[in-house]
Amino acid sequence: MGIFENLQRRAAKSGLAPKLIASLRYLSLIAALAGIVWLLVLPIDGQYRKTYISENALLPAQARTYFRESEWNIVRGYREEVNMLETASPEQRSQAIVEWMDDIGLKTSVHHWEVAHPGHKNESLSGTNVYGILHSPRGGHAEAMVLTAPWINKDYQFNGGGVALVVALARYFHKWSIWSKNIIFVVSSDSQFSLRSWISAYHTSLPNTAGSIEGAVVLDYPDKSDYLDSVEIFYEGLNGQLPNLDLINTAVIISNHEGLKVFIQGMISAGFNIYKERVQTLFRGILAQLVAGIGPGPGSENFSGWRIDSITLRARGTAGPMDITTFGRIAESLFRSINNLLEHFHQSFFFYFLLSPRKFVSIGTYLPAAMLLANSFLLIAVYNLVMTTKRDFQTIIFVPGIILAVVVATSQLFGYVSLLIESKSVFPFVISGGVVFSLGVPSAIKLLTGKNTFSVSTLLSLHSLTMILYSLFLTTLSTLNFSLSFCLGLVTIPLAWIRPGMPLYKSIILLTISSPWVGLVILSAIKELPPHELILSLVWAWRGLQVWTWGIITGIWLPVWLVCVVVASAPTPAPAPQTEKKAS
Amino acid sequence: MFAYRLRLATSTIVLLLVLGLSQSITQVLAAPGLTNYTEHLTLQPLPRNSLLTTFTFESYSIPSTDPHGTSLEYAVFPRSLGQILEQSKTQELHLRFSQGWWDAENWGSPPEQGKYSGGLGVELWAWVEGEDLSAAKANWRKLVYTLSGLFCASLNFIDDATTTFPVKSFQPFGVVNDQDGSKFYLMRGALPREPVCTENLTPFIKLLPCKGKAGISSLLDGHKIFDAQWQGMAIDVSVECNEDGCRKKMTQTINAVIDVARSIQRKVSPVPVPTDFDKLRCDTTKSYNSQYHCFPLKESTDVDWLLSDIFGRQIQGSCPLAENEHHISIQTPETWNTAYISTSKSADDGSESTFISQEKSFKLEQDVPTNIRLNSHDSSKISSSPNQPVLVERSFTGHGLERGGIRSTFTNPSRDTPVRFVYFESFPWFMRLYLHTLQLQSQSLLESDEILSEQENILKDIYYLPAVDRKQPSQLEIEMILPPATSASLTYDFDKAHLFIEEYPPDANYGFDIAPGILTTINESDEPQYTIRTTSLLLQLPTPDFSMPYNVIILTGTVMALTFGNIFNLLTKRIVNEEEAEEIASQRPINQYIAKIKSLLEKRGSTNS
Repeated sequence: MGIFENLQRRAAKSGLAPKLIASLRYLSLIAALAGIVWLLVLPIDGQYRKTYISENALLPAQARTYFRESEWNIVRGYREEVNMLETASPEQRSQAIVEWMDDIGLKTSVHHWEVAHPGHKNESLSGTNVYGILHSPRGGHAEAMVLTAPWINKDYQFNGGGVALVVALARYFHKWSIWSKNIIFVVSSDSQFSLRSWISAYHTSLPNTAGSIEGAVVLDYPDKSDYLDSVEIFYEGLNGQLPNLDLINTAVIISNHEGLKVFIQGMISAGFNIYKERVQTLFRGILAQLVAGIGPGPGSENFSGWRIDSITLRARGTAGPMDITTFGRIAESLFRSINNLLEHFHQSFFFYFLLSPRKFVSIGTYLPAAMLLANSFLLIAVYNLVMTTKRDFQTIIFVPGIILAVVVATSQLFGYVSLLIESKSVFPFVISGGVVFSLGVPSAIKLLTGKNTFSVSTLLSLHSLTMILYSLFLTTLSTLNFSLSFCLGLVTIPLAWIRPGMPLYKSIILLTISSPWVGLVILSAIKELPPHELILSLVWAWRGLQVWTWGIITGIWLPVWLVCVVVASAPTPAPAPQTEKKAS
Repeated sequence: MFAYRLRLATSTIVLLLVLGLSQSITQVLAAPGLTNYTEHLTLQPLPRNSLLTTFTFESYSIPSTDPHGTSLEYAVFPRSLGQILEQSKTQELHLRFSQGWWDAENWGSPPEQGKYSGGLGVELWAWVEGEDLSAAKANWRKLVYTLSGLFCASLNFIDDATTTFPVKSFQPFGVVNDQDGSKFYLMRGALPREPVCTENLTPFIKLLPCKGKAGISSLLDGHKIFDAQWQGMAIDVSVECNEDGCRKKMTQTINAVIDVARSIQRKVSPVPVPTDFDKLRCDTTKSYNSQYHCFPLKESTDVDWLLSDIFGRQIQGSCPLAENEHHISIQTPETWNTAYISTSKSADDGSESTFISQEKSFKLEQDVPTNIRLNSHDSSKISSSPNQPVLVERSFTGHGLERGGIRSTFTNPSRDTPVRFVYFESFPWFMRLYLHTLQLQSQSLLESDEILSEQENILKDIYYLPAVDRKQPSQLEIEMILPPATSASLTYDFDKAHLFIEEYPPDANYGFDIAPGILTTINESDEPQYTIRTTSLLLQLPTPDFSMPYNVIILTGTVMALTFGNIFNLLTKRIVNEEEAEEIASQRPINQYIAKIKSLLEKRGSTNS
């Protein structure tokens, strides 16, 4: 303790505290920048780890696979039939699948799904899924695995190969008596709401169930060719959830074992041996996690929320020499591995970023990036709080508290209303909201306050209080959804620099670049969707998939931004620069 | 008396050895006019080329005047089990080992209306005598421990925390009355997690008088039985009384639904190698049908198989002790051909002769290996089995590790008859049930949109015994009357309790199996009719990271050390102000040296400049 005392005494003597306080704004910026640099450091050799199988029971690629030879004829047969259904009505499609699954000997049921629009019934989405249960002869009937293929994949392509494979694999799995878990084969109408509705209904109202689902695999094979050359694995879940790393590792090992190249995050030609490719993979992974559930996804993300580990396997390329049964064998071997599990997936990592199919960084390594970013707002808050000159209850707590409460309530009401109105008016509503908030709020404040000005301390406290809460929120969010927390923190860095009475042009620049509307435009550029479709996707993702993003944009980002608008536009004399000097 | 019996025993051995005529053994052991041992095998094809095989063995002890059927003469009744029952004062015993899933929609009601079916894993219930509950519990404990050893099953894990006391759901098979002042308690335990395997079958066969060497029990091969889609072994001991006195009756049953096609395929190749190209059964009517394209046809309905294809062996003649007339019966409609093939070796020259019969019931001959052949051109035509009066399906609802819910759906498929039943469920104490959340929603199967809210008309009675932490499971018995063509969903919520770290099993992340619910239908005269069981459920409890205690110890240790250091400093050190502290510090030898060096440097610096 002596050393601490010594240091503390020295610090006090040399007047470090005021210097430190004066430099807090810059420390805040440094923290934010350090957060970004931190992520750039992670893909450097030596900073990441190689993946490994943690659960010994999985035994990936140890089982010999038999989905080959004459099974290919059967896959082709089902494929011909499935392709004939490309133009068929949903009823005809379901009927055909029900018939085939019944012939195979599965317990087949039809699930009619609906995602209701709370305000407008005619806008509700609906469709039909078909699922068949293969009851395991030896198992305890308390566990199940899911093999699924949507009719339409995330790129709106007809997933004929996937559906045919699911049926052919169902027929093939039925011949085995080794299954210790039930297998559920699901053919869903799309890869988004219909699959989500099925999973949701499985846990609430489906008539035929088969126990708790331990793992799920989505097959995506849109190409008409029988040959493929690589496999892409999708694994992002909703709201930052991820499947257990063991599942991905198993899939990667099995695919390589079957002779197929694996890639992730669309890095099709990457060898992942150079830094640039790994950085690219990392940032694509962050963006993929950020936008998971917004718009049609690969399918596996829908299983988030019930402790179900799931991945999507997508066939890529048509060069060969591997064929559709190789793709089926990956599923076969993967199911053999999951079947081996004695316990739920729990051994390996649940929070990670992959830099390549076999390289990853775990949460302990990457979390500091988001934490640094989140805490940069806390440093600003402390700085602002120290800068206040009048420190009574009314100035520091009461008035800022009231303003903050009003702002939060307004923005959340705005967000809530956007969920209730009909789809075609959501975009105009959001845009007009942007106009009203950015022009209306400053003028309203000027009108309301009249000649009375807010004291600088009140505005500083308001900013400070907001930043403290915002920082706390980002810290919490970073442990759940790193990408959302990090990206939100990144775009709102300018909000930390908003000061009462700052020059108009400066505040306009800062507020514009960090406004939710600009954020939405950036997001629409990432998703390659027009902004009005993006907003609709966000609203429907909240409704149908329980994705938080829209709630966080309107419930957190918007109020923080609005508080900064209030702070920047409230009529007040600029804080005298000498107050800062005096403090130092 | 003893000498007489000894003489009889030796004479039977002599007879057996010398003459090989066992007819006389049965005469010797049999009580006059009463059957001592019967065995029977029923074969019944089910839809989709499945086959239901039912083995039933009944053995009796010699009647005695004791109302509990206790007798010194066990005859064919296994002594090992008889003595356990006497020691533990058990009047009636029911033990079930089951595995697989009964497809009620396709297969109808389970064999014998589910009388001999059990829930997944192991299930045991018994009427145990005792002066009071604690005495009966002691006997029950004795029973489960000894049975555990006898049947190589973890029955000893049935303790107070899993034992239930059903009120309405179980009825005794035989005589259980309190006439002579003895009190009986019905106790039940279930182990849904217990895997049922050959080590349970071997002791089961050992209880039979012919031990699997002869008679229908010679078919019982663990590898085949446990490859079934659904199978159950049952042992039921009850007491039967008539004017001669009371005797113990033991019924041993094995039911199995065998997937015939898979069974035969496994004989050809134990792994599912792809079918040869020329053996593929393709739909040739499809336009694309070619050398490479094959739309598979349905499984062939043309069947032809031998019993030995399925069980891997023939029946090794009859068990000489079996007294019933027909040992085997086959339940098929006229479209099926049955052939009974017995191969007997002539004693004179060793030549074999084959005898074929077309009957549906057969009597086995001693020492004559026997096989049965079944064939049909349309295996979808089968003799109908009664439909199950209620279909029941149970699953967990909700997500997250804190709260959960259970939903049980009952469906009465009949168009005209209401069905009355008692539904029994028992949950471990760590599932904290909220009975106030119990809801019943019924829906007519005919008009799918109409939801009837007549909870009172359906729900008749609820018997609920709440759980006591670590001591008693919760127990729920609900009596309902389900109108025709109605489906009713019963839902209730529960909280998941936290366990102590040592209470978690080694594979804690697997979850906890929740025993199947039992549904017993009741007719007008209050007699139980059908017994139907749901599947078990897997409950996920919040599971700690088991290395956490180590981390906690380290963290706590660090905090303690820091606190101790500070307090120790405060207690032992003198508090001085800063000037004094610097003064004292400068007195230290090391600081004096530093000061000296500093002054030297300063001097040199000043001289240099």
